[in-house]
Amino acid sequence: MRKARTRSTVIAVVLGLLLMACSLDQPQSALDPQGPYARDPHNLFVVVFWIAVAVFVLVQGLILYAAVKYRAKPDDDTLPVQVHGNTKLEILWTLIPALILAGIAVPTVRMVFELAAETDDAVTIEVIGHRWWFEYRYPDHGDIVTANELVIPVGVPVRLEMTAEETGLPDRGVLHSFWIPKLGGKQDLVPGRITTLNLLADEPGRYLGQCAEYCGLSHANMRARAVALSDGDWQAWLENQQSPAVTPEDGLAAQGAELFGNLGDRRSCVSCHNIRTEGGEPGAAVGPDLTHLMSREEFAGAIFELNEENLQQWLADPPAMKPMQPETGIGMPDLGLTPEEIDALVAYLLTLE
Amino acid sequence: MKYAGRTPSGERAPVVSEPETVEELNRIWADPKGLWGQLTGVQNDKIGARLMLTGFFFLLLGGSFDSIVMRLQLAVPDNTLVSPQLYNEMFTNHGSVTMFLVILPIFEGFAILLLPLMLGTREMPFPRLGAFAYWTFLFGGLMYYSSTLFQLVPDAGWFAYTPLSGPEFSPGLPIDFWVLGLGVAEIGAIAAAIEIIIGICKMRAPGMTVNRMPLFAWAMLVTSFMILFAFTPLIMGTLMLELDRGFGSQFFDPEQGGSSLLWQHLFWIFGHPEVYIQFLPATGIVSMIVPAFTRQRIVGYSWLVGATVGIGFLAFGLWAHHMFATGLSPIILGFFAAASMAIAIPAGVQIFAWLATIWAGRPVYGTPFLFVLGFLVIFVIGGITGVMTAAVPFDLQAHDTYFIVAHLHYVLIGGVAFPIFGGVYYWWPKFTGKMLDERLGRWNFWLLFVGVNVTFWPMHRLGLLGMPRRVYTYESGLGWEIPNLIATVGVFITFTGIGVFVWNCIRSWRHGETAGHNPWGADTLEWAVASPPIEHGWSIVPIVHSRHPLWDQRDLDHGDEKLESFVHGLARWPLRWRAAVVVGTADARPQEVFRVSDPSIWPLVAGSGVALIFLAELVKLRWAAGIGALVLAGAVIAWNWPVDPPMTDEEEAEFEREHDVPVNAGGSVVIARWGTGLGILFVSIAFSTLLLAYFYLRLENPVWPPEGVGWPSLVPMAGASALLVASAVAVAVGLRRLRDGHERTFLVALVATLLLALAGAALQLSEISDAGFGLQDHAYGSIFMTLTGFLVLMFSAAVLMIVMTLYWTVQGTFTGRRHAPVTNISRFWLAMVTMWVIGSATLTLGPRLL
Repeated sequence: MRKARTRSTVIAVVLGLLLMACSLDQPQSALDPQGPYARDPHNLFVVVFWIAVAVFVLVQGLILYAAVKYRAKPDDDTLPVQVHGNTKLEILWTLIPALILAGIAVPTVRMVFELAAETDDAVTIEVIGHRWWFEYRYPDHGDIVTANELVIPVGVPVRLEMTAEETGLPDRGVLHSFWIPKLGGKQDLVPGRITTLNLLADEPGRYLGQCAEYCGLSHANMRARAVALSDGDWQAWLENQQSPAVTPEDGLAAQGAELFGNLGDRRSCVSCHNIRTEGGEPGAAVGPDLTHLMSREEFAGAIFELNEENLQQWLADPPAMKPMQPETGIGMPDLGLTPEEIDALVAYLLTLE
Repeated sequence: MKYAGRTPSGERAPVVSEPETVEELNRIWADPKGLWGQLTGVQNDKIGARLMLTGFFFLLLGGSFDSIVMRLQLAVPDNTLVSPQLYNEMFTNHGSVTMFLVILPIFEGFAILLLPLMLGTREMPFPRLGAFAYWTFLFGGLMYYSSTLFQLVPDAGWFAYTPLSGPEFSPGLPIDFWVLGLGVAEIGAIAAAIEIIIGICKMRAPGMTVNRMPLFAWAMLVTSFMILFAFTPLIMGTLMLELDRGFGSQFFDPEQGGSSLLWQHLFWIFGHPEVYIQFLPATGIVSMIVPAFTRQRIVGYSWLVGATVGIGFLAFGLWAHHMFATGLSPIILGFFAAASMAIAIPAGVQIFAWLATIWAGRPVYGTPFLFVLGFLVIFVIGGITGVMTAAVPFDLQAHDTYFIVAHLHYVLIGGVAFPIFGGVYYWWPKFTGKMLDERLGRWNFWLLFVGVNVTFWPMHRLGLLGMPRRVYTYESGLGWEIPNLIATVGVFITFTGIGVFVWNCIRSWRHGETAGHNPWGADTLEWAVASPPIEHGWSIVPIVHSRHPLWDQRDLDHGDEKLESFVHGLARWPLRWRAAVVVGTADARPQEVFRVSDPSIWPLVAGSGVALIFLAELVKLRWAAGIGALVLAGAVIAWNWPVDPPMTDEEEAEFEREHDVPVNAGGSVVIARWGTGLGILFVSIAFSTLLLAYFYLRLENPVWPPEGVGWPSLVPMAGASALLVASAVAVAVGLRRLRDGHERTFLVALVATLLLALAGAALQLSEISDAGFGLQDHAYGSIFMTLTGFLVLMFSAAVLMIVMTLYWTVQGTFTGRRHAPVTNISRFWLAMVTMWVIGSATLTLGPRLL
């Protein structure tokens, strides 16, 4: 008996410790909610978790108690009295779990409705899943198009309208799932459909997440970040994003801008990427929009830090840095750029603040 | 062992006595020797053991190697041990193999091996169907695995979600290996399920009424029905996927009116019950081990039966909890959340019933019992995390993360693998005659127990820390490093445990301690026969008076006078053919003595035909599918070719007079009726799946049929249905005439049937061929043509049966006394006509009514 109890206590303590040991170096943890759409599920989880611990300790305690206490001893040949059942007990052990489950089910169902409810003042943002990066559009704020980093205002609910799409063809794509654990649960992106997800960040900050529905080769490299900005920063960000990019007039960057539109007999950058400029011809919307590339911190599905060195390496041979299938049109191919071309292009890209 | 051969009250448990005819019976029941015997053999011991060994072999190949490599890759962040492509192939393979090629065949093997002994009968009802099940499973498994040899390994996950698995995003053959190879294996699973259902319902010892059936039989009964209801939609779903991939249909293409979620529904209507299909047999094993090792009759037998049946039903109402994140409406989410929690109630009932049995008993710590205890600990954890994930808001965090990986492995290893190990330790002595070593057994258990927990416990935490499933690598700094490293250590402990198991088996096989009849002093029938058992198991079929016959009965061949003389009579007669007893489903009174089929090469040929059809599609040599279909049809006809009964009507009548039990030396009437019924059930489920798909697509598409496509015209379609109904009437009339002995009018009726039906089909098909659209045009065309194709397939099969009946009638095979096949063929005909009418009505009225 004492053994069983000791063991149960140990298990309970270990469980508790493991759960509570969540600290700041867990930037993608669901155990550290930073907004109401993550906090509600977490509160539900905590309640259910402790019920689970209680059930586990009780059931295991009973099993171990019975198994140890009544074990056949070598010198003891007495035999158990044969029983066939005990209706009262049987009804009891059916009813009690049923009541516990009902106790979990009711708040669950209520919360399902709450989390899905539309709020009036929400900012709508479109999320489009591609292999293997997320694209964001801001229909409430003109023609802002960004990638990888979902920029949102603090304290304002955000309603994501999401779908999956490949290379700009409507209804064609594979499934993805958008997930920022600290801000809320995940929701799948389904080609040909619009799914919605509510998020709200209480504090400014950078929240990590990634694609949670297997989407092929580079599924592991499809990360998502949410950047919550305070009101002033949010307005400034909107303003900057709405303005077109400025094409550099001279120097290396100007050469880069030239190359961006024309790489001779090689596929040019604009055949996949758009950089919105005043009066300029728009590029294709196959790859991420680069108009304000340098306003972001990461690139290539948010797996690399956005800096000169990484950009140079990337342009030299993209599939070597991130597994992609350019031979079937997915992801950026190696364009066979010369080091001089790379320098010029990177110089241009770095101007796209 | 301490209680060997004893009942809980210390008395000697009964063992069978063998009559002097035992040698002769043994000779009749033995399969031929040598390679030919291996290919033609149908004996349940052979088929059961093969299924289990093949399943275990696939486990070592797919379950083990892959998981070790995957754990090594994830041991540290940003690891480059394997490429992303290889990793994706490995997790696809790991899931597919364990879910399709390991657990299910192992349990079906357990059942086919054990049930005849446990239920007190000599064979399974359709030994040739059992052999067919094995060959198709083997061919399917090998076809699937051959993708490795060609470096065309499937990489879309074991769930093969569309559109990723569709023609556009997974071009080439890898996914076809998955669809087609596993498709063949699924057909084997269904065949074995039908065999097991009939075996349990109709072939038990006299006196083993339903409420005396061992719980393992109950569990397998429910499981087998579930296989029928779950695998059939999967086969239809994969058929649709292959049509999309190979024939350009548009089922899952949203651009053409298809739906990628349709695949998820079809897959999880299979996929969720599949979990319980794996779990229920395990509970059956636990319910057998617990009484033997606690020296206590199981407490709450009827509650356990109720829980098993309840789980069987509930399991089909939960599938959408795999789709909580796909954007279903809150009402649907709420419903499936509640239903998912509800299934914990019957599962809880089971746990408490075992607990009460242990409580009331005197547990003996043999290795099988250790595995039961391990099962109770690990499975309860898995069950509790299951309830947690049913809470939708939490699941939206946990879904598709390592939390789920942890949950499902706790369920499947704790809930399924541990009972399998326990079951092997428990029954190994019965079939080899030798004991497994107890000391090694303990090592085996503890290494597995510790290993599994060390591997999977940290994964709960990984999931909560945000680590998704199916990622080949991860970055550092997310707090995932230490749990991943621990998990990788755990996998090695686990496999050391499996190594000990393999060593224990080899050691016992070579020089294990002799087992004796009943080494554990257990209560069920199989422990009364010799270890290993003789070919036919029971010379004198036992008479059962109790749920625990070996504990409650002094002997196994006493009952009322009539029954006693029957079972003793059956030990001496007939000594020319394999005779087995059919009993009443509920009351277990003898209904029939029939001739079990002999060894035959045709199941192997039929299995090859099935494999050839699928192989032809795989390598895109579609004409070869025609050859496969011919081989299959020919083999099935040959396999069912009526044989002259090895005994005259007078001889049969003599035994009948003496014992009041009909004899059918030509083959069973009752069992054949059941087989036909379940066959019809199988095709009806397949048909219903297509109807469901039709209405799902109908509701997805506001415009139906698409612009520019006309509605199917009413008159020709209704006329065709009327002609087919008339043909069904003709068959029914003909059958009545045959029963009255008018073979000539029966022939006329058959010809009329054929003419009416062919006219009806021609009318409908000519209407459809003018429809102006095809399979490839849009989802409407795809489901329209597929449904029509299904009806044509059923029609052709039915016509072939009628043609063969015509031939056999002309040959004089059927008489007023022997006409069971005709009755069954007319039943199938009736079912076909019903499906035709419903199907045509759906196609014609679907656009009009909705």
